[in-house]
Amino acid sequence: MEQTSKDRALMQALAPKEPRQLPSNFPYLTMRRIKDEQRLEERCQHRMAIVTTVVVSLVGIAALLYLVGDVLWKSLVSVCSQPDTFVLVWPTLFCLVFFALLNHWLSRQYRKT
Amino acid sequence: MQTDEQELIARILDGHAEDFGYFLERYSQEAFAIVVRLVPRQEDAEELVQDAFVRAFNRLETFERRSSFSTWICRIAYTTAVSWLRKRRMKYLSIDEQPKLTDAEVDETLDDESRIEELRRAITLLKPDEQTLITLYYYDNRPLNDIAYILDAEPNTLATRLHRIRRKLYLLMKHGTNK
Repeated sequence: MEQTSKDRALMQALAPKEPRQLPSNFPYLTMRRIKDEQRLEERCQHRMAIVTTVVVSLVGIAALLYLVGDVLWKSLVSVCSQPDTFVLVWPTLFCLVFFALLNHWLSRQYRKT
Repeated sequence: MQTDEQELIARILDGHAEDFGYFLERYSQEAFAIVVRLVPRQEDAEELVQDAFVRAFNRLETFERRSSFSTWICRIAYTTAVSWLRKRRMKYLSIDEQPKLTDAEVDETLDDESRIEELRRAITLLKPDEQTLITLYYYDNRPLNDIAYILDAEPNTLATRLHRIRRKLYLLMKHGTNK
């Protein structure tokens, strides 16, 4: 289709009567929306990861109990009936608490940086 | 597509979202010019352009570099505006049966500078794709290949459509735009 000078009236009619502009803060507002949506998406993915981990762990534990629950229970009863079984309980508990606190403190330091 | 724009896109895909600001600064007005012709209210047009840029950002990895970024964002802005209009079921005039007209008659009417207001009213009654097509071709002087990409059409059919739109405008002006 040949575009000629004949189309002057059409070109004038297509020109906007008053030029309309986007507000000057449009890029800023759009970037803010993009970042908000990204943050929401990340939060959603994080939540999904937690839910998946919990579900998989529960299913795993349930399967384990179903398959070898009886054997585990019997072994536990026999181990607990021996007198020197609980010698290591207090040191183990102490270590667990110590590592939990250390992990908490390191996480806070990491988040600060 | 400029090399530095390709590099910027690679950086954005690498996690530097803030670099998208460059494309917003550079192309938002161009996309807005397409949307604002189809959507009457300024606020709606602004929101649609924003939606288009957010969609572009989220689909940046699908940008194939078959076109320039400007054409790509215009296409997204156009489809966003058209689906918005479809949801609101805006009515446009459709003239399927066209009586026999000579090209001279049509050319003469579309060249008559004393009838610009009539022509403006007739343009508003065209369908969104028709309005966009004549605007991009006659006003923005874009190449037919770019327009075809924006409107998702074959370049060969656009010439025929432009011809038909000219005749439609003539009929709308002849029979009054209140048809």
